[in-house]
Amino acid sequence: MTALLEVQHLRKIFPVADTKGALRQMLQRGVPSTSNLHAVDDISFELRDGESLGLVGESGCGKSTLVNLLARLSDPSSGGIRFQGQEIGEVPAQRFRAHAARAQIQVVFQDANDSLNPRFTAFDNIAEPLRRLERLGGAALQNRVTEIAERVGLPSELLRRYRHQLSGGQRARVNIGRAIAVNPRLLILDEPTSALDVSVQAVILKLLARLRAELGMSFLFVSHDLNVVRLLCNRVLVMYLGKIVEMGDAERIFTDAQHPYTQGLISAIPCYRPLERTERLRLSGEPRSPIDPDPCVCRFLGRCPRSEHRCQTEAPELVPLGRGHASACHFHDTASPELRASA
Amino acid sequence: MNKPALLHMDRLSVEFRTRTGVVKALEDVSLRVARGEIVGVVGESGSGKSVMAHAIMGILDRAGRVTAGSIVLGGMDLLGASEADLRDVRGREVSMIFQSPRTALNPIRQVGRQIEDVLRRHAAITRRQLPRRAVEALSRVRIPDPAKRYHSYPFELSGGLCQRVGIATALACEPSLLIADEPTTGLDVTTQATIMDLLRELAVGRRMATLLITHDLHLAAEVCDRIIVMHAGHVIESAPTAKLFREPSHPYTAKLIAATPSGQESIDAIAAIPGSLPDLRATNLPPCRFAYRCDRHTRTCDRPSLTLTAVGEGHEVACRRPL
Amino acid sequence: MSETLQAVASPPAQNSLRRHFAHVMGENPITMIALALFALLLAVAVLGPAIAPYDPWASDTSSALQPPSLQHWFGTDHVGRDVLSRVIVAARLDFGIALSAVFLSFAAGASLGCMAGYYGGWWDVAVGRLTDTIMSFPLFVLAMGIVAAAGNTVENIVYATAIINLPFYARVARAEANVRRDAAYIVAARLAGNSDSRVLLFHLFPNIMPPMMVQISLNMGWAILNAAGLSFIGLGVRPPTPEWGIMVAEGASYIISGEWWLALFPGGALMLAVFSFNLLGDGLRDLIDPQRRT
Repeated sequence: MTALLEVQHLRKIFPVADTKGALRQMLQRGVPSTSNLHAVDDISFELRDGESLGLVGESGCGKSTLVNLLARLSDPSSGGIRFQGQEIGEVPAQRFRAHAARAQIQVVFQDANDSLNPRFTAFDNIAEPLRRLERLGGAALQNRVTEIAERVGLPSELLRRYRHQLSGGQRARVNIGRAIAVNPRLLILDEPTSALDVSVQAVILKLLARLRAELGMSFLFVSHDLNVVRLLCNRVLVMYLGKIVEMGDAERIFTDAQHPYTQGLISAIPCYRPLERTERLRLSGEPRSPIDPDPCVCRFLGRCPRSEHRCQTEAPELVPLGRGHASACHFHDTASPELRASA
Repeated sequence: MNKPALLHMDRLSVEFRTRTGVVKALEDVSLRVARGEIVGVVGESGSGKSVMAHAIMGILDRAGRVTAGSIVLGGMDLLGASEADLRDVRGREVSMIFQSPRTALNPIRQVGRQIEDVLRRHAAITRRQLPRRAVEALSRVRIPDPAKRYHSYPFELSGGLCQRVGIATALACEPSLLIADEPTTGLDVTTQATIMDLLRELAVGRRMATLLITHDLHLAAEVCDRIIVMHAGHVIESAPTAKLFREPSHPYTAKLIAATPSGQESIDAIAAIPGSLPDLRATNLPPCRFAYRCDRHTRTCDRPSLTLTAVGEGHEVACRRPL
Repeated sequence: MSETLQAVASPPAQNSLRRHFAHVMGENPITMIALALFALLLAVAVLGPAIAPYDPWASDTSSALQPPSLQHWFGTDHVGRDVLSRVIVAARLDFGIALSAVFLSFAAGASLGCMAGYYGGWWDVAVGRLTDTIMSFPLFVLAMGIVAAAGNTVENIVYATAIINLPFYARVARAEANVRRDAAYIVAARLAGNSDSRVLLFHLFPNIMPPMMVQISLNMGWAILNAAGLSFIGLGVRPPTPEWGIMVAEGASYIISGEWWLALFPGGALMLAVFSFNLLGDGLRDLIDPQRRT
């Protein structure tokens, strides 16, 4: 498989004003010092054509920032994004709408309600990208929208409704229809089912899997629900505080996680386990601040159950472990058996 | 079931008056929770699980009305009680923690002070003891450095810490019943896991009765002794956790289990539940509100007066053709 | 809970404008009253001279200062003009000033506010400072100053009223645009290849209309008061033009001598107009908001 998307050393840094003692600082130095929030910090990965890549991590880990960068809604601070061999990271987000790759990268947002324009009918919501990006109109537009509605399982008589007249599942379908309308190659799904009921979620997940098979799209599937990621993804990236801490084939991540954060994450999945009453791996403590992180300290320090002196003096790099699996921990090869067992 | 129940809700029915008709939000819902027991109430949105919690707390929306049934907590009839008595009970005997921890806290008041507010209202302690008791309450929910956190404002705390403060506030007067309404929705899984551990500990260590309301069957399974499954305002099944998963009796429960992703490797392994909830304003609702969506539905299902029937030890189901 | 109910409840969104209108009115009878009042005042403004029983300009000193009677329902003024006719004819001028002023300040304020809220940064600072500057004056005094400096004409009253109303629109529009800027449907509009100006115009602006409608209607009343107030103190419209503010001003001096009808009836018309606009606001928002469409 060739690479559809190559991300190289991508960074997004937001300057934040240091509000604590700003006045005193101003009096002493004349200007308040600024700090930097490292939302996405030196991330490199590849998404192959036709692949479904999962991106997991907790809130605040930089998932959403990464999604915005890849969807070209915001500009990276540094680093490159290559899409189908073409560098698109340098095109300013303002002007990306006119770029040929605009239609190729689309997003399904988390909140299907919020992603539909309340003043548009379902038809108009789906038609908007077709009108703007493919300049469709009239009967051609009508046919395409009807076809898309059919594809996402939305009864065509619902196309005349406004968003508040649709049920949660129907909104999710319109939301997906809007995103796939212009036949994107890469569909970024930002927690597409987290606001849905279980029964609706199952239907929507099946729909997504079918659409991917039918249309040959690649998925970047962002979620905090690892069970859902496992159902839909071939490969998984695990993010923690702006960094990728582990990546690899989905099954290996779930059965043989190497990074203690991934192990904790998997161990925390609520699950009915009738037989095992073993102690779960619990991550206690609060995450470190993403503002001006110390480059010589492992970002997981403070929550990691097995931190040692080395973790405070040297930040671990992402080390390949073979067969596409990589993990950023000093101890992955010596990870204790009980940690593995619990994961 | 044989244990004396602390909370005893019997055939409760609640209606909501809306512009477009009367919503039968709860119908004939019965529930018992004993001391030291965690009971999970699982259902999708619209199943009436939160309405039930609000009815117990006596904080139903003004449009809502209890039309039948009783709620007895430790011998006290909550529905017949005066508002003054209810205020006494709330906070001291029964407490609730809410879905969004940040909005449940007063943003401009130090968290320690908010706990003191509850203590001052309900506990017979002197003014001088208040700060010490508040710090104790914070440390009880494993908040690191509670003496320092006492002075924190909610915005200075993470979501997980806010929820801990919410729990600390709810537990400050050591209530005998805790109602947790989706306490971890919106929190990270790792935080959720630690909050759940805490609830479990409190139930075991303090013999507190807990009602955990959630849409996540597996979350309930992890901590609950018993699970009650609700659908469209009915309790459709009630069973000990292991039994519910091993041999679900109601078709809806079975479908719900099958539809929940839980470590399956392929999308084909999960099943979808077709259809949606019936309109609860309809006057001709079938006795089984799952009938429209059920593939086992036959004419027998349309016979009136469907009730929970025992199918095993502590296992009840409201279905004419159980699995 | 409510979501499910709504979804089940909603019938198809066919051409249901009339039903929607009836529904909004049925739900809020006060809107109905306000609308009836507004329609009455509007009819008076449009028909004006045609329905006035007397010539509003014709003086007849022989019948000056007559109290309300069957011939002159509202009585006559100090030069014998029929007060009812003058109140009727004045409606057009007062409405005209208020409508054009409100339209101007809505157009300018909403676009400035939208851009400030959507783009943020430099735009936001500039619009913020502009509105703060206007707001830092006592607004009526500012309007007086503008009219006094620019010249004592009806157009200048319109401009002055528009300028002092501008900050209210700009602030509402800015706040509403700002909270919607990051809404997923706005981001989706960008993903669909819309330029910023298209997003602003076709996706953001229609969605901030409902709250703006309330502002418009509240402002209408205020604009009428403002125009009348300027005339009252002798700026803008000049006597003998029939205008509510002038009429109140002229009539005020007669109240002490017992001729109350000169000031009461134009003042009452003014009050009714302001009252109906204020009541209309909520109803207008409900009408324009698709969420309310059942």
